[in-house]
Amino acid sequence: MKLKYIIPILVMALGTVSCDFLDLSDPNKVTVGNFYQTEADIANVCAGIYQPFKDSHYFTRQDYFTDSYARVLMFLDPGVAGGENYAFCAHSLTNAHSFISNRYNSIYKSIDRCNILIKHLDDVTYEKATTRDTYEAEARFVRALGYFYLVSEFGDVPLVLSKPGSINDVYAANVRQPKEKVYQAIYDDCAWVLASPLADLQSANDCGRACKVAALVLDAKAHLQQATDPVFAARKAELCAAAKTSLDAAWAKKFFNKLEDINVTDAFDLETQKGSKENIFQINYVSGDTNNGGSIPLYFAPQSYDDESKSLVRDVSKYSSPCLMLKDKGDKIFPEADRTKDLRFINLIGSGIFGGSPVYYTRKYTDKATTTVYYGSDIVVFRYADVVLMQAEVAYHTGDAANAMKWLNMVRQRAGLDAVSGLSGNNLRDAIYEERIREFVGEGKAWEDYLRGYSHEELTNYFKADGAAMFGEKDFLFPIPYSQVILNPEGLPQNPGY
Amino acid sequence: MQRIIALIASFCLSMCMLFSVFAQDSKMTVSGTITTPEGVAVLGTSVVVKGSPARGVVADVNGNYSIQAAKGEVLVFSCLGYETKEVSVSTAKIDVILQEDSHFIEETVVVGYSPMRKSDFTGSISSVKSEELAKTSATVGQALVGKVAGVEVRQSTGAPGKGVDIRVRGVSSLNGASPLYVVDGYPASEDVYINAQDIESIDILKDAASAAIYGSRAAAGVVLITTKRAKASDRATITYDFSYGIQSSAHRIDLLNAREFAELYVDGYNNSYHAYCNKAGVEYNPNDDNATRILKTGKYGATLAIVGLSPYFWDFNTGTYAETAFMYDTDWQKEYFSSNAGIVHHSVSIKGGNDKLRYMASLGYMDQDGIIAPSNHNRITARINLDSQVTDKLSISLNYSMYDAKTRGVNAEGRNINDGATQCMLQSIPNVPCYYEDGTLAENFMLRLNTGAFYNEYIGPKADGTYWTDGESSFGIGSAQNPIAIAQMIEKNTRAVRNNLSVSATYEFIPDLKLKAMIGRQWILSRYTFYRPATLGIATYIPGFNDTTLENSYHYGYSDVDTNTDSIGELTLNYKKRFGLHHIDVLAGISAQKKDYDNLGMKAATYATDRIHDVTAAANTKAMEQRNMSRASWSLFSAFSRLNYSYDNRYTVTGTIRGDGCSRFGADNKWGLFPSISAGWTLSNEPFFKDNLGEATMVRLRASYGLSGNNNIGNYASIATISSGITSFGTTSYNTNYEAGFVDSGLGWETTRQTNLGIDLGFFKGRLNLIANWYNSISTDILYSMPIPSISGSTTTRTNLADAKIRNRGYDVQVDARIFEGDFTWVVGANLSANRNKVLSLGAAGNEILTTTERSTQSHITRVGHPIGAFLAYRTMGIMNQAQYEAVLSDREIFLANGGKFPEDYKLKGPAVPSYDLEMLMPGSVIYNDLDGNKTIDSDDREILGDAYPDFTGGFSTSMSWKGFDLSAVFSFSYGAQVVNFNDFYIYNMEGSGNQYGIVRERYRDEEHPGNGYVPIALRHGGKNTSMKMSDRYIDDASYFRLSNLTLGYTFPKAMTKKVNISSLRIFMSGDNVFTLTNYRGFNPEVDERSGVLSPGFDWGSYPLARILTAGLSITF
Repeated sequence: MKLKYIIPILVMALGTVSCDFLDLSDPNKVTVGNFYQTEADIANVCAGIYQPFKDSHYFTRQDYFTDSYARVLMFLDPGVAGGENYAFCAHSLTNAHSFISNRYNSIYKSIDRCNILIKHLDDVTYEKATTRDTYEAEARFVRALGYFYLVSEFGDVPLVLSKPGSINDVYAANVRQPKEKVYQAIYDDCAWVLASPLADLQSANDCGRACKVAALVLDAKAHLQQATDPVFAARKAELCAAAKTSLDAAWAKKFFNKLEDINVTDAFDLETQKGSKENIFQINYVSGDTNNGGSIPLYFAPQSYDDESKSLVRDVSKYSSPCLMLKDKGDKIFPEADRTKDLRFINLIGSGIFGGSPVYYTRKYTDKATTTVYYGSDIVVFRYADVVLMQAEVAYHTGDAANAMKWLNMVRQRAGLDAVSGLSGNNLRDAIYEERIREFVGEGKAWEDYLRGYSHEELTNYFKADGAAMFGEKDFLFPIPYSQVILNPEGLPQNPGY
Repeated sequence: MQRIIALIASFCLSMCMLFSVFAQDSKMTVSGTITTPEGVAVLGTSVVVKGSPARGVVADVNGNYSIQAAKGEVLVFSCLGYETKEVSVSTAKIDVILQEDSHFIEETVVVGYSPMRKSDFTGSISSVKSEELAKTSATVGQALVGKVAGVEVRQSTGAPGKGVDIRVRGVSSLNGASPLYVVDGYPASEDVYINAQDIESIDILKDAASAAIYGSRAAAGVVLITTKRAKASDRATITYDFSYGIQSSAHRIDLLNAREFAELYVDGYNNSYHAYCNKAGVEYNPNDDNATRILKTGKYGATLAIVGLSPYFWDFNTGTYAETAFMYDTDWQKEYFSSNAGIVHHSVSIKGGNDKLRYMASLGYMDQDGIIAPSNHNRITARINLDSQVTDKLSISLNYSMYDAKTRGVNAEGRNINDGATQCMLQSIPNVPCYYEDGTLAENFMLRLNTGAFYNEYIGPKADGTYWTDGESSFGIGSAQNPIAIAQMIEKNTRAVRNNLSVSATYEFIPDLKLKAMIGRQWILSRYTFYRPATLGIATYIPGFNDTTLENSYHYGYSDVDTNTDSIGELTLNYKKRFGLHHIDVLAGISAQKKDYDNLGMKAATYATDRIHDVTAAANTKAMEQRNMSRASWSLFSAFSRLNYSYDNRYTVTGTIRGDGCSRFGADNKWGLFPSISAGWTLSNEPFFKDNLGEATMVRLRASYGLSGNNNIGNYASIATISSGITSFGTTSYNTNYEAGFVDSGLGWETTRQTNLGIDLGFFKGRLNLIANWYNSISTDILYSMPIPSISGSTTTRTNLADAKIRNRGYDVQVDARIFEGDFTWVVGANLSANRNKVLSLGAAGNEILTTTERSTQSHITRVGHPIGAFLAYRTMGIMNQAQYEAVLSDREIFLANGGKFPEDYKLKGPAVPSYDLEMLMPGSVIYNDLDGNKTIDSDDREILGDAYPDFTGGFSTSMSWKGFDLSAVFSFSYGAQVVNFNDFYIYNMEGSGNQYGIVRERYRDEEHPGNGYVPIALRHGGKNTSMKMSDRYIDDASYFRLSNLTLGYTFPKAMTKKVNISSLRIFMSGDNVFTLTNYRGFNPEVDERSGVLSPGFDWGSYPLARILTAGLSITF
């Protein structure tokens, strides 16, 4: 070849650069524009709405916002991570606290996924007509659950019920809405679910999916939370009645006869929990599965166990600081006199040492089945004991002491405790709410429970006396994350005191 | 080019002479060879008898000449590009050495795509020639330190195989952009890997007008590297270079010894116990044993990790230090740094040519041990540059280069608890051994100080005969692993191979109208392997004591294989023409470039054995995880043009324009246009100037304005995509899909507009030169991952901040002087640069961007009116004395009585504090400035207390030579920058949980022993009120003055070496980083441990710089 032909060849080579030379698409990703095509795509997106539950500080480590904030579980080392973990039980949260923004952002991420699913449900056709509405029902339940936590922890919050299309839509929607509107959105979603073809309760194989009874419990819980909020005092009776309706409906759909037929450990035992008749909705983990295993047991382990057979995981060394412990709280939560009787104390509480001090720990999250660090203990979000105790709450709040004690005693008797009788007024109330604390240790309910049962003044005095000297009125709401407030200071004003 | 002109010129001259030669009486034949000082023949030299221009000849291609001349006549040897020499005829054989003419008028500069006459260049450039580069440096970048004005060359790490950070005229972006590197015309998107011996010159385009020819990639400057090529006249030579160096750590930090640490330990934990006693309202007694301490304060949140004393340090029975506390006194720095790490260079090159073919080939080898064993970098480089004149009109060039390197890295950087060896070294207490008596490494020792098993083994059972448990042994001692164990046991190996090939053909249609076509490709292959053995403990995981299984989450390895290719095709047309006094130089071209990334990585989480470290030894090959797996590409299609016009070498104007289309930009924004204009006026070529000041002075004024861009936005960032994952219902896994995040489809490049004004001055015929530039650059459309409301499902989205503006303004000055010439030469050079970085607006991102670095600390802030990533910290106001403490206690009464706040009109009696919790209040605590005066120390009291950008940087170099000896030195300095030494979070936290700076000896102990007035009280639970706040205590002055290189060489006389057929032989000794004068408390004031632009100047356990002492030689045959 004559070398002088090199130039024309090179020119031609450059000439082959075609118009689409610059239009490259990501070989690793499907784009949004061409994704939603088949029913299977929608099914995958529907499964994806449950994932943010496992994000840090949504359900993973939710206990800081509930049990620890209510000083049921204590964080014992003020120095860890600049004091962020300790700040919950010390009630020294700030607007820059990273757990708070994690939680706020994770919940909205979950809501966004639900909105995306709802937006694209009609992009495809379905083999069975009911499939579409089942997906929408799941999305609406997950969305409503998110708003329940947002409204009860942060107060007024932005309410986004459809996927914003542009950045301007996002800014327009980023405005705090009155609590009343948020509660109403929860009720609307729950009502939609109840009219849908979604299953009443899910089988062990579908453990982790939403169900109608879960929507009923959520509806009842939200009504009860609103009813006991001093802002809505005028509507208390009406809201309690609505809660009662949903609780009755939930109770009617149960698959067991009496609560005491179900063992107190049934909801937590790895062997039984996915199919437990008591459990209504749970965050599903799979033991030993690298993708679907969790690390929940490690968050509750002491440094050493008094009885190593009661360790939470197979390898006793695998406690993972930081952990939440019942510390010097045994007396209050489980009175000495009842300890030999209370099956929950006997079976679900262990004792050990943390930082040189004796502590009690919850054994609800135990997985000794796996040698890996991927644990299968589910987080139980709703179970029938909660329905029963909420029935007791509704009865108490509507002045029906007899029924309140009837429901309360169902839980007490199952736990092996004596029935209570003749209680009224604050004694009755304390019995119900103390029972809730006892029943749900480590389950992420305590703070909301306290808010329903006690006035701000009572709680302020209680926490101050308990050692949180700085507790004040501001602490009844979490701060809106600073990182969000600065994006819209007018539409997203900070809660007072932060 | 010079050579061709020279040939033509001498050809004409000799033709004239041929016609006019006539014989003369008493002449003899004089002959000889004309060479350069290196012994290379100078062909085409005209030899003329002075006064008789007709009597002359031209030397042949070997530099030989022969002429008729009489004794006493003077021969004039002249050749374009060389200084003319006159020799009086005395013998028949006259060999002549011609010196290159350094102020040769046609000197060219490399400015992108085609060289330009230096006299026509009106932008701003910094150039370094091969002979100015220190060849003993481990990398090319290090050789640039202190030499270039307007360019900051920072050695932020000393790890073998790691390069430098080059920052041209400040930081114009929020998301990081490094200069574009162009090696022999090939724009490479990554750092360069070149044997320093191969380099002919490095030219750095600084102003936007010069860089605009590289368009959307040029905003951070362009570094043009030209490698050596042979000249047509080069006789075949072989050059061999060798050097061997010894490296050692350049700086040691003052830390506590065993006794001092034990005192601090007991002091800190007792003080914490004291604080908790205050909280509990009980009496403090330092003699209380651990059980009593927990009994008295446990209810109030105290644990053994805060108030207990480990029996390793304290014996409660005797009320004094335990014997074990002083069993060892380890100097961890001595153990950590090798004192004799070697570095060896070999390089062989051959070079030669004739008018048809020219060749240069080299082979280099380097092996460098790091000062932290066993880190090592071993590489082979090779290069072949061929140039062939195929026909009169067609020439072809081929460049091939290869790089093959093996690097053994150590995990020096990062947090102690993430296996960061340097921090572990600083934090390791002297009271524990590095090696046991039998010579084996004492791994996990400090970690075990928190376990029951350790005390059972070391101290024996407790007093009551029972054994210690972990819960009773959790003494809160820091989790520092033995740093030598980390360095040795964590394996980080990189094997990287790069092959570059480019071929170009140039066709000259008519004289000086050239069409050039170039195609090239780079193949980049690398494999990175990482292995962490099960036997290395971390935090609470201590193998052999509480965990014996190999299957745990700390036993893992991975392997990443990257196969990347980069392809380019380029066509340029170039025309140069002189019409009388007019000179034009036109360039036009198109270019297409594409880069493909193909990355595969696997992680093995469990291993069946500790003996095989590759992922192949994974216990469960089916459970291997993906890691960094992706394929990606970007493509860039560009058209560009440059027009240069000059008149009479007095007025010059240059315009360039480039249009870039890039796959990275969003669909609405595919193309960007980058124009520039510059002009120059050579005042000294004006007749009036010459008339008044003569020829000895040169004055030139330059001005330029241009646009350049930054396309560093990642691939596919403008396309919304679907991600996938896995979830489960029951025990069954389900696939999930979800939208990956909010995307801005209009995403485009960042634009920088820069004005440059410059002056060039030359005095005494170029013996003293000064180049000065002032510039002002404004960057807009700043690329940024902007926070957006999380209700969008995302917390950030990547976008162009339309109204944001970042300004860099400054000047740079370079002065060079040849003070003496002749037998004794002395050349000095100095440069000074000043850059002021300022954020003028952040547009939609608001007023400030806070950056969280480590330990949830917002240490950096990018705030309008301040530089990018300034340091945000509390201002300290000394430490609290007893009287102030008591005043705070009385404030506290008011605070509590008023419901956790102060009455509006209350005036504090003591200093404001972050918390009124009793355990947080101790005399000797740090006092912080209550900036906003709201009577409490909160996040609003933080202020900007420094930044990582120096006020001035510069260098000073001097070199002299005399009779074969040469001595040179390069100094570099930086003034006015600060650094966040966040290692202080551990080694200046006053906790007594890990070792501390020596200055801690001067701490506050009590009212009678207040120390030096600024080191606070030792307190185990430091935290909020004392030492762990990000305050000015963590911010250090980063100014320094460094002797970067000192070289002494000797070149043997030619007469001596010629006898053994060596044309040149030089031996030398040199030192790199010889000394550094600085007030910085850490290892290296240039440290920059965080990669983000928003968090510069951050020390977090870096790999310190080495001092290198080298000896070497260079032989040319």
